[in-house]
Amino acid sequence: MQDNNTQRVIHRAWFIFAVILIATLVVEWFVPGKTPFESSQWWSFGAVFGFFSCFAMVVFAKLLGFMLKRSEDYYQETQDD
Amino acid sequence: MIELLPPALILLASALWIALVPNVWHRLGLFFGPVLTLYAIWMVPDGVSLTAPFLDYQLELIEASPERRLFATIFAIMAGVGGLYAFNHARRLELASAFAYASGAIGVCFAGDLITLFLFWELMALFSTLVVWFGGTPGARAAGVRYAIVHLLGGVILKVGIEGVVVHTGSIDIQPLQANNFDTYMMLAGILINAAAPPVSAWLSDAYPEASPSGSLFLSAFTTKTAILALILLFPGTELLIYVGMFMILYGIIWALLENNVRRILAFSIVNQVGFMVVAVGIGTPMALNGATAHAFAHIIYKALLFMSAGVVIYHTGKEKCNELGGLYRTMPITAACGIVGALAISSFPLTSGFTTKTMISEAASMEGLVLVWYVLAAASAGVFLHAGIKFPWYVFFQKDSGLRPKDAPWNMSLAMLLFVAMCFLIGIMPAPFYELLPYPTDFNAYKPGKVVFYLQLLLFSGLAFFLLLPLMKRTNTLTLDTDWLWRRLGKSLALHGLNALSKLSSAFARVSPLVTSRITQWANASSSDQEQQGTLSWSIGTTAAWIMTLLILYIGYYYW
Repeated sequence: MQDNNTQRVIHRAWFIFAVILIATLVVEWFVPGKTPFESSQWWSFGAVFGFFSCFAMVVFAKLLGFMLKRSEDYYQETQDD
Repeated sequence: MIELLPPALILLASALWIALVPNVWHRLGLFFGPVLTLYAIWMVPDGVSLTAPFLDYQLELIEASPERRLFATIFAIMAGVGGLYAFNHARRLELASAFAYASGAIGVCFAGDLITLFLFWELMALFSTLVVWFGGTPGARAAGVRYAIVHLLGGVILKVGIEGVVVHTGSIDIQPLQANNFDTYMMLAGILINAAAPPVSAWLSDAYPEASPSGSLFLSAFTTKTAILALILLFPGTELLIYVGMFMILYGIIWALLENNVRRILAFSIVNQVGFMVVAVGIGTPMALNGATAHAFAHIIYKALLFMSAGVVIYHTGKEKCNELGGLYRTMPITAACGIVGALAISSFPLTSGFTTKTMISEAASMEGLVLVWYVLAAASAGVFLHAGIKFPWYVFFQKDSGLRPKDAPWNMSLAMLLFVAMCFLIGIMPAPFYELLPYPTDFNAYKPGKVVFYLQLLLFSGLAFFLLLPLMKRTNTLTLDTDWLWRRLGKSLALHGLNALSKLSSAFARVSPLVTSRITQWANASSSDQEQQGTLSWSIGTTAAWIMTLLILYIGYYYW
């Protein structure tokens, strides 16, 4: 029962979030999103740029993690002391 | 009377009061120290108001200007609100050390010459190390030693630069310099070490999370921001800083994305946010320097809010790993709400202080036609929302039901957080009075409708990316290697190999010369006997802190008069 409730809340949150996202795109028809440069004046630039720059950062971090992640006791702090 | 006293000295005296006065009376220092300091800060007139002869130089112990006053103001506010937040949990000597640390930061703000600046710079290094050590764990002790080494080394580099500048120019004045020779590069490097710039950014994420939760709160405010003020005063418009700052911005985001420890995420985001300020100093125009000053002010508030929120969680659950937390909004609504406001502000969401200050830096980049810089700053704004704006509150307060049901923050912690929430919104909703305090007159309007729409799209769609990519960001019990690997692993390994080689050499030598060996043995025995005696006289961190503070205050009192 509680799981169903949680699912319902999650679906509702996604619905509200989607409405807000669409609203920011619709608003731009009336109030053009302004950036200082001509190359980025097209409709929905902020949305596309925000989404894909984050996508790139997450993927880059994930790939870097394969090389740089180590177990928590890597430096063995307690033995140093 | 108070207006005649140097603001840093007032706060240092209150640190001494907190350290020495018994029972609850020490709490008077926690309140009156910052209040009187704040009053004194605003009584200091612009220009040089206190000088003293030293060797062949005339020291300018107090020099005020709008940016100096603004930095000192937020440092004093931070000390006061931090004291309110921490007085029930933190140890008395930890609070005293934090106040002495803050007084060093305020001393740097008003230092009119390089010698005075250096004195207070080192005062900060000393007491901030003590604050790290008050974490009280073996990890805190080790991190404190590494922190002290980096900062003492940074201090030496800065001192070499200062000596060079003084010898070659004959002036100890703090004035804009060109980074174009050995002396000025050394000064720049010394300051950048405190700003957590590459390649030594790792000291920050290494040490800050090891302090106590209250200690992390104080540490988040002073060292990096005094470095920004020093850059504003000494190296405005240095192009190199633009590239250094952009690296810091991206480094902070990527390493925070990989991190599992809540306070370490916030530590990486300090580097990220300081990167914005470093870029602004590198641009160096009045709009950019206004942006750096305003953003430093706002950053201290919302970063403190995030550390306070995390601190309450750590105090009440004893946990600070993302994969062990979750669902805490149920029993910690105030802490969660305050943490979310801090997260929105750091993401420069409209109506918060981050929006009205960080966009000044982007505006400065666009005014100078720095297209690439502007796009990096925009992408970084989205990235900040990703790594701090959503990640911190999501993993701590929502995500899943961890089964933890901690109490919400006690009244003093709630009040401290709510004060900073109010400041976040005040600067975000009505920025005009705040802009009046900035070093250069400005008619900057953060709320142009098109710009607001752009930033809303940028941030909200980065939020969408976060939730869609959640499977890629599964938390693991790992750490991420950083440049501190060079001294924590490689350096240690090299040192051990070196010692082994020395030991073998010594054995070979011993075989050749028994007489020398017997002398060395006698010397070694004597040394070890000395060490044993020292061991019996070893002091606790608290006693050491109290003695250092007493001697320093006596020295600085003597130095002023």
